[in-house]
Amino acid sequence: MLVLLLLELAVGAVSIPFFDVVRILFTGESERSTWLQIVQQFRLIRTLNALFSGAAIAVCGLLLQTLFRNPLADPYVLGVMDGARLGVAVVVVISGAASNTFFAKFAFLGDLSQVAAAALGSVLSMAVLLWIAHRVSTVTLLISGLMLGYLCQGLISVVLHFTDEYQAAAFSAWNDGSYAGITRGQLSLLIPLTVLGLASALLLVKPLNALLMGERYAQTLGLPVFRARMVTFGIVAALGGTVTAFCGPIAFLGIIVAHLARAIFQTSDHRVLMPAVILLGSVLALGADLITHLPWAKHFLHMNAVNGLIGAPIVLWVLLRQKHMRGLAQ
Amino acid sequence: MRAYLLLLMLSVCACKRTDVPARRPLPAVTFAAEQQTNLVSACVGNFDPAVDYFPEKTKIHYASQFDVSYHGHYKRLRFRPNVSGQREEEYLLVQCGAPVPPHESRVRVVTVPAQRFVLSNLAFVSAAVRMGLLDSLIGVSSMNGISHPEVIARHQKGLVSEVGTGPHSSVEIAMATETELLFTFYSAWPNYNTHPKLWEVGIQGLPTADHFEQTALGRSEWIKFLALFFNRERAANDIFEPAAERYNELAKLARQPAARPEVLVGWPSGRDIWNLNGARNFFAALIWDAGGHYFWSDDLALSLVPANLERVFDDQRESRFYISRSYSAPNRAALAAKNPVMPYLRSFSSDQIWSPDRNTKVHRRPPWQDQSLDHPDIVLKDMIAMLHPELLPNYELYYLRKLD
Amino acid sequence: MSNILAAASLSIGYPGKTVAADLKLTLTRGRLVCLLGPNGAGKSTLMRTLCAMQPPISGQVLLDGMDIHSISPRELARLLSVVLTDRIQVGLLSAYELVSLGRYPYTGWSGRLSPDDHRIIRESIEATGATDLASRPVDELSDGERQKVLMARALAQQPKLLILDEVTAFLDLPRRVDIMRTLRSLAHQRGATILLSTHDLDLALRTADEIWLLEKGGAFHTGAPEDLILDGHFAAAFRSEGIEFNAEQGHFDMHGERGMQVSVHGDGLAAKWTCRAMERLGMTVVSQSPLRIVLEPGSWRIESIASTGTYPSIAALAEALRGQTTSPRKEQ
Repeated sequence: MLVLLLLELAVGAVSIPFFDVVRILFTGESERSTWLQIVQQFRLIRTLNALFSGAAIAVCGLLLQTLFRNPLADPYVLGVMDGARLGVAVVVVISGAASNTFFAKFAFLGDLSQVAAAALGSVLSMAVLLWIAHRVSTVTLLISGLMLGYLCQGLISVVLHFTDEYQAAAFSAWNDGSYAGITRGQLSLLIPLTVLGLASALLLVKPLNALLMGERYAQTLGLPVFRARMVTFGIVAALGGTVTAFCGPIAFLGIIVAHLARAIFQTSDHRVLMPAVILLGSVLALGADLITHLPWAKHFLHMNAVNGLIGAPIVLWVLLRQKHMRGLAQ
Repeated sequence: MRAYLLLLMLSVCACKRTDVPARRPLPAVTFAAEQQTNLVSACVGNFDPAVDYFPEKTKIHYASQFDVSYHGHYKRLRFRPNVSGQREEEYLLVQCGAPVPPHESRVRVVTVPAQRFVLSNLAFVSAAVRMGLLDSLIGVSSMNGISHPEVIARHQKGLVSEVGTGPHSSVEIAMATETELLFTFYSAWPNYNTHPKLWEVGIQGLPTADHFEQTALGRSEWIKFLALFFNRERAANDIFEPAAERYNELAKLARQPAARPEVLVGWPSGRDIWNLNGARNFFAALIWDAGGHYFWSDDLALSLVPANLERVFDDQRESRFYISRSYSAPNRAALAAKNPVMPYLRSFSSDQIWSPDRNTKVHRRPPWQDQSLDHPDIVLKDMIAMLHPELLPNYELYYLRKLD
Repeated sequence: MSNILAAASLSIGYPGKTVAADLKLTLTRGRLVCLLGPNGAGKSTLMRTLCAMQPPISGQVLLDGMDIHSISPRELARLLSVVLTDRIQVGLLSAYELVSLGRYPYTGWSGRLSPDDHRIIRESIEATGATDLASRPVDELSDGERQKVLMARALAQQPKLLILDEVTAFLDLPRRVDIMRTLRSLAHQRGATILLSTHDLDLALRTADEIWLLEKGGAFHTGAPEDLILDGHFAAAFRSEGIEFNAEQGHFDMHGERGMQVSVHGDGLAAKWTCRAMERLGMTVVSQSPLRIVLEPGSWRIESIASTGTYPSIAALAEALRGQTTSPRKEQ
């Protein structure tokens, strides 16, 4: 992880000698001021963002998988991120309609309102999913999530019709998932929120283990199921909303990491999985971001393309294997 | 669900009606052999193959992508886009009332002078008005880019329709205007080029690629391209040639500056991607002619290129000037609020961030967008005044504004 | 106080629909009690009410002397554990890890297990005879093995009362017998108190210390299995289903209608199984009949007005009788 961290800081479109990167990190000085700024302002922020957002999205994936008792649940696949994006789109439009200067003046409030809107959007989409989940099988839920995502995307288009082209363009730039391009202010909001979310998720390992057995059993074990469920929901909404508000939709990471963690540690015990998922989430996010920023990449690789390249085969593998996992789709 | 359907129906009903001025056939007139002017609003009534129907001609000196030759009663227009892998296109512009000459099937025939047209490339707006085509302009892609007061007035009267930009453009609205010609914005991306498709629905789609030119005058000379379809060669010459002369005079002024300041042009288009003009683009040449130096040199692209933020950042470390395209930012602080990277630009600390939005009357509609193509000299003068104010004392800028 | 569970004038059901009213029941420590009743009598409703998953319409359920709905979830989980029919999907948990979830009400926020917890888990696994399964992933276990593990998990909760809902359903006979035997030894050797609802009447009658019988319409009887048989409640409860309980033979008759009468003459095991064979063929065994089967060492003889014959096996005998009962015309 440390290696990846250093690599991420050292590798980019502009090649900066490794020694200089280390010097910038430890002394804050460089012979070229632009290098200093590139490392400090772009790469460091991007790296930190990937670190925390990756962990957050991965944890969202694990939480949703346990909550829905569905191995393919993930905030991206289930359309939760689209819900969050819809929330942000609404805020963008409302803020544009109200006044442009408001959000420029109160950048922090603007960021906060985006997070809140994204969280609200994800809560709504999860509520719909929960309502659906009781009625349908694993795969149908997946399709329902996809449809929900499309519905949200459609609504986003409709909402964006009420705004001018410039704002719509700004929105679509943000719409492509990436860890780059967030501000120091946003980062200083993102880190505490994700840390809070991750810490709460760590506190949930025991109830989550109980939920593995299903809700009725969990209840007989003394778990207040409804409350645990709401808390889990809240955490997913906070983590997913925060990350989606600042990084856009991060595809597949939630699925990939949870399955990777299970495969590596051969357990479903959340006491092992949760820290593993946090760590692996960070590592994978860094790795994917590193690939998209390799200096010899002539064209711009989209991060979700990299995620999809790894994620889609995992989804297929899980689907194929599911035949042997009796009763899962009941 | 029912509410949803109702909403859908309402939105269908809410579509704007387009009021179209009636289309009148051109009168046929007798063309005397010794006539010195082109027919700008008439057909030939007495066709004679020996007569030159285009006494007013034009010659292309700077533009590199199109050329015209005159053949008595028709003009042959060749369009060769400066974009690799694109085929040459050929058009025969035949005088109304004269027979169409034999031609290959790939050659498209346009009857001139045309009476109605739509502009999807808004750079041509003021040139069109100055050539006397205001009444013929019955549609534009979007009024959002238009600052020209006369066009705005006609739009308010319902005489100019909006056909939409890019993916939002509507062929249906364009068809409803009953336009003859529609000038599209030529794209390096073949799928975005809709002008051949327009021919299938009875609209003569014509590509404009002024933005792919390599010199500022080459770009401005595209007003002649427009003029050809209306037999307005003389008007185009009258606008372009004096402007070109003044441009060349001004360029001499800044030919050997004491120092060539570096200029950053471009804008953030994604999270860590910037859109830049390629180093072969006319904009780079314009900066050179103004005694400056375009910062991005290692990309030979013609038009916009996406570039990684880090590279932009590393390459701009000498750029004292930045021409931003954020028409909405009133000052540097607002620009910084919109994009946190801005304060780290060299030009930010040297207090030289400029925006081409001076004389903006309507929010986000600077004359730069639709009223600069036919004024290459003033554009250059502004640029020189920005880079070397000592060369043009007491000059009042027209397009460029320094952000506070 | 030896009553673990008690309820008086308890009404169960759903808002607007009372399933059974005025129930009086007590559960004594160290007993294995089976709840029986025809389908639709409300067994599941009663079970859910007793483990606080559903509120009663009126009355209250006292667990260890306290109203079950006043006990906190955590405290309740220490008093009562439940095994349900729900299929569980626990992914990659091993049987041991699943059983360790039974320690849930006793562990801290992280669920960390103390050596004591581990000891209890091991004992619970031993008690249900699941020692060999401990390290295997739950998803790879057979249905019977899984039930054992789930029972061990319930035991690990160290409850005063263990409630099992239809745990023997879907299992084959040897597995069912095995589970019931385990439950009985848990109750008798370890003093566990167990309430089990089941469809397996035969097995319940043979194993339970006490039977709770819930009839359609809400009538409720409790008592030793034999008492319920002798006073006719047992037969009455299932008659509505079209099943006739044969009090003499101690099992249910397979055929609703009485068939041709036959008498079996002989002794011992052979006679008993010959009777079973007759029932299987749809005949009624009586003491004297014109149709007689006489057992001889190694052979069976039919003596009747129509025909006589000697057969070497029950199969051959049955074949001959089938001819007599189904197509007598062919015989003539």
